[in-house]
Amino acid sequence: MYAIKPHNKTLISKFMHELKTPLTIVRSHLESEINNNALNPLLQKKLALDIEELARMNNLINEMNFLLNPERSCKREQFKEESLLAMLVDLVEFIKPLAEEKEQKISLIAHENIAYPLHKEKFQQLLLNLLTNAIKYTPKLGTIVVKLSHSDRGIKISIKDSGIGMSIEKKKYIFEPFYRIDTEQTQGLGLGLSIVQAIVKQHQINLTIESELNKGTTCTLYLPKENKNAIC
Amino acid sequence: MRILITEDEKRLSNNIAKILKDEKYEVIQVYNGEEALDFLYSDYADLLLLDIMMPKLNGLELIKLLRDANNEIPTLMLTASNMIDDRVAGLDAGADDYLCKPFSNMELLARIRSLLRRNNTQKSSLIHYKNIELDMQKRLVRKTGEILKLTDKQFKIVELFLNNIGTTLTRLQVSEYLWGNMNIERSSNAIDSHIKNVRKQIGSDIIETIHGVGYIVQKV
Repeated sequence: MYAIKPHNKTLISKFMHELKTPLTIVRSHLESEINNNALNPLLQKKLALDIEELARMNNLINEMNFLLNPERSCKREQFKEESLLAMLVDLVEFIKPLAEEKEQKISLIAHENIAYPLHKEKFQQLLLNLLTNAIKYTPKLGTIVVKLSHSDRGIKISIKDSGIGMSIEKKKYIFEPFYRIDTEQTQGLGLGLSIVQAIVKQHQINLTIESELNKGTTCTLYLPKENKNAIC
Repeated sequence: MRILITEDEKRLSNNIAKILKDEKYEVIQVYNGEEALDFLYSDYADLLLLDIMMPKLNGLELIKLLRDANNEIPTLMLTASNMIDDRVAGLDAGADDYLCKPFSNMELLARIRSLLRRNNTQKSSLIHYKNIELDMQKRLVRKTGEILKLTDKQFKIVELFLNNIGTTLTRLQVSEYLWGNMNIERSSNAIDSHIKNVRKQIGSDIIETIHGVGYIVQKV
């Protein structure tokens, strides 16, 4: 993906933008139909699912666009001091019902509020991708612990799960686009960690992933205290 | 209220026109920037819906021309790009807000209402429904006169539904309204528990479930 020549990137990007208009037309039609009172409830249900599929298609287009041009998606001047605690509380609240579906316990440990300059939308996406992976790769009744603290390497955000983990061999490929650890057990296209990596790079922060097969995975983000060089 | 739709994709334009007419807006459709100018110079419209990529005169050129001529018509830009550069370019050119394609009908109507409200301060920001009162200006919800303690997300849910009475909102639409385009598989399932918490506050008879589809607040 990164070997694509710049002018081809622009072409692909334009082409993908062109897909948005037909998507808008179809979505708009389906949403109007859902509100048609004469519609059979079963069909109404199917249309709602169709709209979710369109949203999935749109997300895929956005993800590919982001991976093609990460530097175009956010600018340094958009970085703002954000409360990491508020962001984590918000995300854990958002994701909790998905964990509860698998009877997993998700908890947040944070003793103080810490503000950090970042691109809110992208940073949220980064955390969300790590959190959804934790839920996805942790079996029923497992635990996920999110922790915000200080460390020698800067502010530390860790997401620890009691999931299936991965071997050293598989860990080598996790940042490759379209790579999935276990194609039978999980859904999705495998772009999540490629996006995480691109966002980490933009923010000039560090991510470490420690994993042990059948024991679990811990993803840790280190946010240097002085981070004035982040490029976006 | 008159809305001028400037969109070169006819099917999309027709669809938007139908949605707006259903909401009792007067609508006129044009298919390129030059045609739009004729209507705009005559102060025909109260709001402009503007696609960026258009033949003859594109959306950015059109909005610049308007603002240079001191025409301050509220403008909602429709863009296929979610790249920051393009969004910023539109706002810099003078658009008041933007909406990325593909957008939901509900989101389109919400943005239009918000722009018109900004321009028309007399219009009430209160919505009453049964024993619930929503004050959008003060960002408060009252139940039989008592102020409810709602979180930001809970307030937004009440705001969303009371602004769309009689419309079925899918869980995806609610999710997008609360969280934007955050990409998560099956994110809409997470909405159910938020709705449950809102019901505890406002009462269980306001937001009805439509199984497998979403939710609705019925017209009284």
